[in-house]
Amino acid sequence: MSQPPKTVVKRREFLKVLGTTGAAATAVGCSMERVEQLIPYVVSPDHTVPGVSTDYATVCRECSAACGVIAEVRDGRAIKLEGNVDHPVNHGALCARGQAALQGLYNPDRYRGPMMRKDNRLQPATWDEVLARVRQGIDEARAANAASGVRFLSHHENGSFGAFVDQWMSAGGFGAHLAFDPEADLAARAANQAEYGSAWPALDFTAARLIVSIGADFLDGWGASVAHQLSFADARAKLGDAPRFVFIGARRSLTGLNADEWLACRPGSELAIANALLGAVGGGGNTTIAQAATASGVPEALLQRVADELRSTKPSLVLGGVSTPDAHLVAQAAARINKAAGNVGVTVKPDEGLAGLGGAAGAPALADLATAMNAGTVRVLFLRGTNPVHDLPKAMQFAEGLAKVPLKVSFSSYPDETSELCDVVLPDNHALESWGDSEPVRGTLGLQQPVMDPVFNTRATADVMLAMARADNAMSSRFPWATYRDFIASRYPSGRAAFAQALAKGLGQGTALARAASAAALPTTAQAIAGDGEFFLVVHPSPALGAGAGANKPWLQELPDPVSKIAWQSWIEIHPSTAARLGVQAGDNLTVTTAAGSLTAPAYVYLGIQPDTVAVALGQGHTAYGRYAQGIGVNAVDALGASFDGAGRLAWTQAKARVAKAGDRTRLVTVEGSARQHGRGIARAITAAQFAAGEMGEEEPHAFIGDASHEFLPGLRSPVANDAQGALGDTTSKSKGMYAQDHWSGMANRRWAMTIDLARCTGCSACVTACYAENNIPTVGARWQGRSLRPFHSADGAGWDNAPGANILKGREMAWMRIERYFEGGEDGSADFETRFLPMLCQHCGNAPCESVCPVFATYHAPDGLNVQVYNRCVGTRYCSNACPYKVRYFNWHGYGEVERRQYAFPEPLNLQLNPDVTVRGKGVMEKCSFCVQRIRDAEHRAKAENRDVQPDEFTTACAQACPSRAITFGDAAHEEWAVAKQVEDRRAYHVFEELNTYTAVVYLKKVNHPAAGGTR
Amino acid sequence: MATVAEPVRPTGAARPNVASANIQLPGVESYEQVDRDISGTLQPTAGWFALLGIAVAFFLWGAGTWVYQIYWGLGNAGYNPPVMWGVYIISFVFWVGIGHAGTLISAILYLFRAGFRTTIYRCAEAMTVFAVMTAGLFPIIHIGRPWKFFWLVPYPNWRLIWPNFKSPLVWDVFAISTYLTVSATFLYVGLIPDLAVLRDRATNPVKKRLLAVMSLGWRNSEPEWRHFARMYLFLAALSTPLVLSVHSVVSFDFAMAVTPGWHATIFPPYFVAGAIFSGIGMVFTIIIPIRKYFRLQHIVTINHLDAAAKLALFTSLVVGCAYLIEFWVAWYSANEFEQAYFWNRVFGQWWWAAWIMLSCNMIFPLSLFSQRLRRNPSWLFIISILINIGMWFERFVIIVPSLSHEFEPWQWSGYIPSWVDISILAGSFGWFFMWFLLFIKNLPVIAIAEVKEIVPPRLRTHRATADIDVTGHHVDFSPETPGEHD
Amino acid sequence: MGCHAIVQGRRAPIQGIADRDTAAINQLLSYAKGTPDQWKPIPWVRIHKLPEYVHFPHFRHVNAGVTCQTCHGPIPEMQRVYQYASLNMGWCVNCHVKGYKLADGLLAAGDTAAARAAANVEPKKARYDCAVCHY
Repeated sequence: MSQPPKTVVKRREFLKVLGTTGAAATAVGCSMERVEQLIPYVVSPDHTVPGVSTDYATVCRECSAACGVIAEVRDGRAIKLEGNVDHPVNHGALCARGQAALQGLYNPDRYRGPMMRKDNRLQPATWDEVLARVRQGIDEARAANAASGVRFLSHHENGSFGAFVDQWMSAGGFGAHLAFDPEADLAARAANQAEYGSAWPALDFTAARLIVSIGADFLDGWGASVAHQLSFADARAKLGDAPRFVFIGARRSLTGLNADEWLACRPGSELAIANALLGAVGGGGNTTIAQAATASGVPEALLQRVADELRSTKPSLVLGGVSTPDAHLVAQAAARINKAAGNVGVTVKPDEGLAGLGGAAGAPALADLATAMNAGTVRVLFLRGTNPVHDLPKAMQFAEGLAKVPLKVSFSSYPDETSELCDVVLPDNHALESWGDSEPVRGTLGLQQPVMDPVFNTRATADVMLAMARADNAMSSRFPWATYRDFIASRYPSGRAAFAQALAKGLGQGTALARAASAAALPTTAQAIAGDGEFFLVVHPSPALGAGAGANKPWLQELPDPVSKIAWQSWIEIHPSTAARLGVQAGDNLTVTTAAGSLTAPAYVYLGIQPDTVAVALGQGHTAYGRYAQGIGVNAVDALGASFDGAGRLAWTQAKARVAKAGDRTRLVTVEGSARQHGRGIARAITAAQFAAGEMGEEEPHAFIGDASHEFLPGLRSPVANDAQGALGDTTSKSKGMYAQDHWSGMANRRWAMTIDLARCTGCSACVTACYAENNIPTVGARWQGRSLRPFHSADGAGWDNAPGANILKGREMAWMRIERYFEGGEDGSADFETRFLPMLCQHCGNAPCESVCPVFATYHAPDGLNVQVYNRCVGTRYCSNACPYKVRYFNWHGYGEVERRQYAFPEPLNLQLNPDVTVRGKGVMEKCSFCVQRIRDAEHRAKAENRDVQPDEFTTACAQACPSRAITFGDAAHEEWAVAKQVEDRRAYHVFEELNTYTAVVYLKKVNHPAAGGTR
Repeated sequence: MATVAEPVRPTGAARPNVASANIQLPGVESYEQVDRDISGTLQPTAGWFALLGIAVAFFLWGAGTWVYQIYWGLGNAGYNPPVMWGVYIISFVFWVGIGHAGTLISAILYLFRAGFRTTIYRCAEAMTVFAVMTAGLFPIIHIGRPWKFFWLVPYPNWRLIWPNFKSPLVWDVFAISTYLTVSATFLYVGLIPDLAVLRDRATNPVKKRLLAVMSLGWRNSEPEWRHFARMYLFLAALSTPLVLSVHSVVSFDFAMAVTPGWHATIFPPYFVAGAIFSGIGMVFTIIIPIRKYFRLQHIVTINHLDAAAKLALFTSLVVGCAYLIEFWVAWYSANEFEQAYFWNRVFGQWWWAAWIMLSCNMIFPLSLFSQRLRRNPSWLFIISILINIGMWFERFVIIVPSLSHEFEPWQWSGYIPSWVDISILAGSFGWFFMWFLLFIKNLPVIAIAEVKEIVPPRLRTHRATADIDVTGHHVDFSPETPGEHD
Repeated sequence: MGCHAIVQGRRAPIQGIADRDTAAINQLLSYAKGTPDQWKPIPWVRIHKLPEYVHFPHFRHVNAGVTCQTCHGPIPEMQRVYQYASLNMGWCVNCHVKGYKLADGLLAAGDTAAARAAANVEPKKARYDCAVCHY
């Protein structure tokens, strides 16, 4: 496979005719009168049958883990990303950020071509112009005999690219380049390197009996979170024998919320605790439990108990991943605990390490660069895929330095804070448009190939550099390759033919080109947390937006933060008791002031944070970076000074802060109604002890039909879906049509159903974004998508509700699948509370309250058990939503799918991502989860074409496919060969609100808790 | 029919207890006077034009807003999911409710021979027709794709699909349209003799011709009267069950859903009582100014108002009882969802709405136990306004708190109407009063023919009660009805 | 669809009509002048179109043996192609419910012999619930 061949007709013209996309789909009613023309291919390209998808294996570049993805390409455009099942890191799963790569590809704010600064603003230019300008700059530098003044700052990319750039730089006589990854935990990498000899060992949670995480958010962005999550979920799936998980930190992150126990410690005291634990397992350590207790504020008894547990439980797994200045020491201590406890090789496997995570530049190196720039010694600066002006503290004066550089060349695809300051922009292809390789695990190559022609007039940076090299006498000799593809292919161990074959799978044997590793010994000391003020300021990356790279993707902005459930906004987390003391209500604006600066954002009162700590997430506060990112929230880095840990990563938790009410309020853009279940048994749990004892846990099963604990076939036993039962049902009814069990279509013999295992689910929300991608769900939070506030208004802005997330403030988010986050306990503000995540989607009730009330049959029960919503029949009475106990029906309040409206959710070219198999819903109709009916039909078509029956587990829904916890199982519950049919018989199975006799097709399996000895939660 | 009350001398400040069922019109001397007084109200006045102008302005503003909403989408209304129904459905139920008093008064009270209906039923009936016309708009206004509304109507079509007859919304379509048809017919039939009167008095030939056609050539002959009476009786009998059925069906819109606060068997009677209550409220709101400004106090006497007030009091008690039963059932059901909802209704998020409802519909009307207040038109007017507000909020309380506080705590929400909701609500009042104002200046607002039935026969020269008012005081004749305590 | 094996602008004499050039066909040919990379796509005017919310897999119908003429009508006889079937929902549903009679299809295709042979073939029915086409 290779790039889809060029077509004579422009791709997009062609798509106008073939794609069933937004504009057309919303034209309600019959549009047969419109005269259309069909523009066919003249020479039909290989691998491309109009309307049939082609899959390309490539690499996800949204974080350094470099997961393998399969891009589904329809008519020359990528429409969906799914994990590569064969890939050693993600095994077919894909996180929300990976899913959202498509919105980076089709981002409407991408540079549409090369740009050059004329009369002091960036203006479109031709490639020749910009390349000439760059060459000129380099020549000037050489002439001034300051070749070393040519610097290259790149985003750290797993694979050969870094080394390729180094080669290029050295060939040109310039210095080695800097690779920067704001999220990389350099401290942990350095410590791992020092202790295990591997920057990122594989972590096997399944082998552990006890997991202790000291601030390591391994589920939300710390290292390869998908890989961690797969293993962690498998560990939790051992139910009774699953490892207990203790989380130690100042803030309960998503990872922390998945812990069975939380030791809320003062920021900066993690080292003391780590050392105490190290002592407890006999690995040395110079701190006693008592000292650690006083330092951290954790009750000594509690700490002692955990220490004993750690000593007595083998094997265990201890992870250190804080962001304080002494992070490297914490990581080191954690590694030593593992050594002392004999976990190395059992739960920590250095020889199977994730290779690609090494070799990113520390912030001090960037500081040096900034200094050099300010000193004026930098003549030419290349920037690629990185945004230091946003990601680095003002104190480092990067922007100021940038101004002093004669020629600043950006390869950025997006108009971010940094590229807007540059002189020349040579927009890079998106990862899905370019070649590359990665080394996810040692010895395995992940191959990255373009899945489609570039959307805009962009060029792959590597190719541009090759072109420049060949044009440069000094370098040409060392760069014989015409394209970066040739470069990659030429390096492929078993030759080009093998390479071409390997592309099909996206994986091959071999190693990526390595950079010269800098083995600096870790300092044994570290700065303390500085500053005055009674609060610690904890800054952490956002699980969805990272350090800011995700902010221009509406899917990620719309995705409620897994912890706070807030979207399109920044917020300051504050403990209830502290809030009470300061008289702060949720939504009151707080001003957090540190020595370095101050932030003002609404308060979010959160149980999972230390009373003397406030926390802010990174990622927002962009002053550029496109329509979706600009002007939303605050940039947490503004409150940070230039303080680094021993490995050179910017210390996010570095300062104490003063907190004051700003006086005004900002409504929190949250999707949370009530965070408590009010005893309604929606998200249920059972303790390991109860499970072992065979009890049902909290609530004993109701002994009536429909209870999942009975012999069970969702829906087929419900009275109203009586006719759906065919032979099982009312035999007096004569005509049942397709509902008859013996009807030739056999539809009534199927019952599409889903199980969701709450013991596995971590609440990461990957399924939510996967659903957005699969089902053309509009994002509604952008500030121009709000409603009008007064009768007379201009079409542009005045008179409209322009607050970010305006629609979400009105509860109008469209997420067909949402993750509900319920707290149990902790009403007194204590750290002893439990969190239950519950993915909620249409339950496809066998006895659906919504079906009987629809006046026009727009929603009805299909014989195969689906609760169908027929968009083009819906008149929008919204009665179905009122009747739905689960509140999983969503209404199109504005014309989100209509191009001419200000609320349009898919501004060109985002509309190219729309799934042609799914209707884009128009204004005024109801929509909801369809169990991915398009995938069901597709499977049926395939089976029919091959003249066979649909095979068990042959396909699955988008959410189940993406889920990195493998918590979701979809299938036909009426045939026991399907996995789901076994799952619904599980002892932990239950329906939400089964007392309503809705006979849901979505069956939840109770979460299993592992309370400390004597604990209940 | 009752006779003149026994004259009673007032002793001190003590008020005599007057039989309010007394429907005699001592202020009316002759049939001619009836014709004169009632048809005399048909002369347009400046004040009337002013009011009509205001009504039309409101209507146009509302209509414009609706067009705006159709273009920009329902999102501009205040909906806050899961509160998927708001002001529009509230107003729909409100107007249908208003539409009940008319038929009750004209049909049911007719069958029960309740004499006091005679002078007010025409007003009430017209109000009914216009209220139902208004109500009928709201289901169309509130749906997402109004241009597809006809899909709710069963008609053979090339899609080969019918509406879902299981859905209460489809029942609504039938209930409302039937009710509108029957009540309009009833109104028209009742009008025929009066149209004849107007025809005879009309001077403008065009108008005369028009009225001649509309009065179906009424000649006031004995057989005509016989047929008329029969027809009227049958129509009354036909529309009586409708009074009960229509609002029962409307209540099914809620009772048929599992939503806490909706899913109750008490709803049909509860809704019907509420509807009649609100209808009578609106009758007061309309008839009191009319009798004042049309100077018809001697025809619509205080006794009639008194009697109607008793009806209002009764329905208020029924409604109040229903409220209390709801709470009791919620407690007795031991259904946590139901209980949580009712707690939230009165003491939670929506306490203010609930207390407006309870005080306006349950507490203030208790004042009507006092005869003094019952016979005080100003107080009746104030009460009637309170009832209108209270009944609108009753529907608010039924719809919004239920939806905002349902099974799923995660999805609990709030609701604030937007300018679009308010404009369209105001527009609906404009629309209603536009029709009503046009009606009162073009057709007799009081049934001439029926009033004549209760005027003392002409032949009696010396009228026993000429100089004695219903309370027994000796007075000279004045068009003002004595015995009023303004 | 490969209906025409050979396309040429010059029409041979048939039934006494003298041979002549046909403008329309020549125009079509003009799109394919020169080497393939110079060819231009033919802007066909679209006659048959279903609304975008209808999912219509051609192959399911073709595989079921539905002849082209059943829905598209006698294309070969058409001077100018027009929409033969109403393509409205009732038309679809009728066929799905009552079933497709192979004989009729073959007859429409003009294969009388085969049609006679298929006279007794059971009508081929299809699902008719909404979600078969609308999703």
